[in-house]
Amino acid sequence: MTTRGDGAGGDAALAAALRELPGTAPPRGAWEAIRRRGEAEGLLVKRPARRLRRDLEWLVGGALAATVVIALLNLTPTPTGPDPVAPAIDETQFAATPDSPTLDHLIERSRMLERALRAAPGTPRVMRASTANTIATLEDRVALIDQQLSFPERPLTDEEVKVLWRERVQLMDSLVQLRYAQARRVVL
Amino acid sequence: MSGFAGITIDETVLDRARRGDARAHESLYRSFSPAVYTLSLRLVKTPALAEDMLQETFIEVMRSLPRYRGDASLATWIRRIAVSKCLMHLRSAWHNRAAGFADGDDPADAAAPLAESVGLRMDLQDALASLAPESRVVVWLHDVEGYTHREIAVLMQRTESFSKSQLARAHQKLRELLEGDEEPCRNMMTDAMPGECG
Repeated sequence: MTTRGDGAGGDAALAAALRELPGTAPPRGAWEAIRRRGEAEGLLVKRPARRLRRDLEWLVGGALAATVVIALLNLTPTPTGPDPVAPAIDETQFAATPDSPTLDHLIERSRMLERALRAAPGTPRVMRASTANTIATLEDRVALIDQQLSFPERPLTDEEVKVLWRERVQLMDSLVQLRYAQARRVVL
Repeated sequence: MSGFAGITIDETVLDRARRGDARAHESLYRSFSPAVYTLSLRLVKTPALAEDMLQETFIEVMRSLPRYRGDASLATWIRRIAVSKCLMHLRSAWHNRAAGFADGDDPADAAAPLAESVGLRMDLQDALASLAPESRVVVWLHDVEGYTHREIAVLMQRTESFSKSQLARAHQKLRELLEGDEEPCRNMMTDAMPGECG
């Protein structure tokens, strides 16, 4: 058995050799950068005096940011007409999922919807608040499911994984439909 | 062997870390950072990106540790976070454009031009690094970290058969890259299986 041989023996030797590759130490100073970020994001406990100072900084910074945003909103011109070019929409990509999809089906469909979303026309400059809110809610729920799939608090059963993926597909489906419907409204 | 194996953390350190204690988090970092950094380096290849992944992983540990209940070992949990961060990076739009990670191209073939152009004197580390991202991820997660094809499929949002076929093709590609190179083979086998290279 050698790594050059075909078949399971060669694969096993290759895997064994990969496991023997040496580890690499992280660069010096990496922890300091992580600690600073952890403190800046409020994830690490800081000394009270510094905390008070940070809170004040956040307060002042937040007030400044809010002022700038309000000023920008007042200055942003509204569009004078629709985008002259209609987005190309491939209706076949929204084909329904089978009644009893397997996990593989669901994952594949989710990937396909991700691709469709990436290919969707850009977000219009002006959007109804209710639409923006719906999109944000859908995106938040997709992110939550991704979080549950990626960092489960306990090992998930196959059925639980499937339920999460089914919900992800439904949410992605809604998100894609919404984005394309929105693009149509801009063109019409 | 996976760098995450055999790392244990005192329960009191864990409790302090859950409450956001910086010293406790530093202790976690000292224990797990070599494993996280090595894993990240294997998956995303470049040291700068691996350092980003290291930071993202430990920030996520700070965020999520209060919700960690200990159903999986801490090492397994942190490794899963690191893998997810790397995969998120590899799936990101700008990376896809550069590397074709998720566009259904033929990643196992991506190493061929490089291998042919440099006359194929590679050691295993270089050969692994020259694989396309998806192949590299599958090989490392399966062969070194011990993930099943089902777990890899879920993580990569692909099918189980995709993972299996990627692994087979990546093994084949690695063998091709190492072929004809006595020295790397000898290096590679010295620790793993002495005397089987010749």
